[in-house]
Amino acid sequence: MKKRIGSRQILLLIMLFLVALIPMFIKTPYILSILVMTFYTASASLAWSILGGMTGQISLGHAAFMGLGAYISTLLLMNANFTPWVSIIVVFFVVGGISALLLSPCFHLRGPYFSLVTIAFGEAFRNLLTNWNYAGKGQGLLLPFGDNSLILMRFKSKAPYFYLALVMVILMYLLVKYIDQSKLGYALKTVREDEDTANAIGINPWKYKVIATFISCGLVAVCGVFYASYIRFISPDIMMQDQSVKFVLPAVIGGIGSAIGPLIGAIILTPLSEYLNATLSSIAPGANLLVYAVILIVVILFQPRGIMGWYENSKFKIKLNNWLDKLDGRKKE
Amino acid sequence: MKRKVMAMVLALTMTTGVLAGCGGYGSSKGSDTTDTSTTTETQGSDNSTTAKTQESTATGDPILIGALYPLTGDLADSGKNMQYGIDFAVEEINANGGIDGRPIKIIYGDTQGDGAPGMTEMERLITQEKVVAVMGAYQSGVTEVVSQVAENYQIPMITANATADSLTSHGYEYFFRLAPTNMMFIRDMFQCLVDYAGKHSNATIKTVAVCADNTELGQQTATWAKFWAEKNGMEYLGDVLYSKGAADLTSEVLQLKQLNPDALIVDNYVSDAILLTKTMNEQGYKPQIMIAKGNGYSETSYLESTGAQANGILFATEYLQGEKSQDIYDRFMQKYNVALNGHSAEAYTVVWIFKQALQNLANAGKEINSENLKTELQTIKIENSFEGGSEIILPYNTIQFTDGEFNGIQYKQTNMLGNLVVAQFQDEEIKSVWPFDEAEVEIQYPASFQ
Repeated sequence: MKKRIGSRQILLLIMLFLVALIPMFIKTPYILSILVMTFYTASASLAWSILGGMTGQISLGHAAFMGLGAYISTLLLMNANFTPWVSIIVVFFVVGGISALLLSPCFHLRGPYFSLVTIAFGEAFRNLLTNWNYAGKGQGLLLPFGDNSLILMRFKSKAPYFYLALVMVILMYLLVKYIDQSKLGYALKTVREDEDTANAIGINPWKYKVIATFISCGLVAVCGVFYASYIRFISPDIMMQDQSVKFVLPAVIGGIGSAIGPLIGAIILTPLSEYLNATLSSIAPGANLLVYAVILIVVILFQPRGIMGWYENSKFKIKLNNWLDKLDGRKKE
Repeated sequence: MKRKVMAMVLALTMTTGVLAGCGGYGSSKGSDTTDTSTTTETQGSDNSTTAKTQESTATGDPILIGALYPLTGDLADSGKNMQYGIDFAVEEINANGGIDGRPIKIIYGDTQGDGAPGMTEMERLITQEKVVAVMGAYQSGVTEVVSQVAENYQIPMITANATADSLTSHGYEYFFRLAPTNMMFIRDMFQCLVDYAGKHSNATIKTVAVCADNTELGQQTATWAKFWAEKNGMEYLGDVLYSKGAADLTSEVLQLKQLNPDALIVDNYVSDAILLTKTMNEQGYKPQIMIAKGNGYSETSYLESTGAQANGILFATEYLQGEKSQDIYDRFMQKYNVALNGHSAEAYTVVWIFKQALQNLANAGKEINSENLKTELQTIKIENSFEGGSEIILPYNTIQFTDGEFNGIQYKQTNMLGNLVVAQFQDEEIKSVWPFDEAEVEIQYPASFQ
């Protein structure tokens, strides 16, 4: 079934075009760096949602896999002069493979027990790197300095990072969207809803969990390559469990289980937390986190399915669709 | 419904996580937690200006300086302390007319104890607030990230507290360090031992061992201890490293007992420090000398929990209340109701360094901008006291940012003249014992632990 290009696609393209134009008008590095962090968080959250949202295996150790990606690409860059572009492919397969292998015996655990195991793995990796001489131990690694270079993903200004992050988040979204609507996606969702049923109808839950882990952890490692290239300093601290939570929150707020949820969550949460930090932290330290937490609690209490969960059942969606259909000249069905 | 409950439980767990800022077990968290909170009562002050907020007499265009510290998260307490030190200095400076009538204004940024927010905040301070210089950050890991941002934007930055030796070896032009580095900490601890053994023939200090956590800082302590032991002709018997936040240290203490060094060198965060002291007491392990890198041992809660068991333990720190700074110490105590400690004293000093450099620029008729300030900081030499201010309250009399090299590590624009003081718990009080010429009392040897 081929879709016609309608108003939805055109609107989306216009929005994308406008976003892409931002660095032309907003030159302030501060705003751009918030946007970069937003895209980065959204990408990592999207990657997380393949395992956490679609497959229902809540991982709280994704920061460790992100960190592994960052470490592998940095070590390759420093010791073998590997360009991060190649590292992207390397880390996807290496980290995806490692995590799928390590987590595969744990897929029989359900619910919070699985989450606990992922926390343990995250801590194990962090401790490993804290004590590994070759990887700079706890002191971390500083990426080499120098002039702007696209090959080495190294820029002095924010705009190139902005576009890199934008491309990353778009690709990540398209991939998640694609998986969401593919046969694989339906299998994953079946596993999430009821493992026993899945088994009964010929979907091997274990196999699909391995696949989801591979893709999800591999992709989050790719985000790690970007993180290392952007922040230019990595230490085992980036693997801490609270960093994992930063990937989970946008998905929870945006709506677990929908492809666009993590994206919307990140677009709301990251600027919000930065804004609160900038405005409140010097007046009343901690107030920003308090406000942030209250917003989180309210959303989760009243909209446990997140913003997308609300949207799917809202009149707003019907109205919006009607309006878009009208633009297309289609009749209301 | 089950899903809903689980979502809520999960959400609440995560929210608490967010509220707590970050987990309290970071590896490079707390570059050096040397809070020297002496519990001595403040002497009733007859100074009429004390405890009152001093009125600013500077009314010109403010000179903006950024300060980047962990104001939230598990290091917020330490951040708050440094904030006090900074505010205290700014108040003093502005009450005395600022820099030719221009007050200093501090714009704070919150790193949340993490590199990525630290970077964004640094960019805000530089590009939005347009500060002329920056100070911070507390943790070495975060300082590593933000110092490259300052370098990129060519804004001078002084770190008051970060101790990791590698920070100043990147060749940055705009980054300066006041804090003594880890190397200097361990150097001075050994010097104290060597000096004591030289002075007292009854003391034999031929072998040392280290007990520290296995984080970045603990590892560095072990490395430098090995280095300085060899340099001073002592035998390094080995190190006993444990996971930070340990629940039990019995086997570690037994290991130490077996090694039986003449001097035990330790570096522990406060909870581990308390546990170690208590376990040593239980196991009856009493090394003749136990010397700590400030860290947990200088926190108020350490002495409160261990009491007499701490007697005899030595620790190195950046600042001790003494003659040089009694007046500042008292006024600080009255105003904030916390003791001036190593970190706040260093942060206080950095503001005065900025003040002196800016004043020099103004006196020379130069424009106050980042470039000129950087050049001024590269050549500035402060001896004994600040112009129009107090004496240098830290245990050294000269501040100068020079380049140096030590054991293959480059130190650029570091206050190489910095040194530390060593204190000892005696009768459940903190007494300065080294350098000997400024010491209040003699070192208790062997340590009594009771």
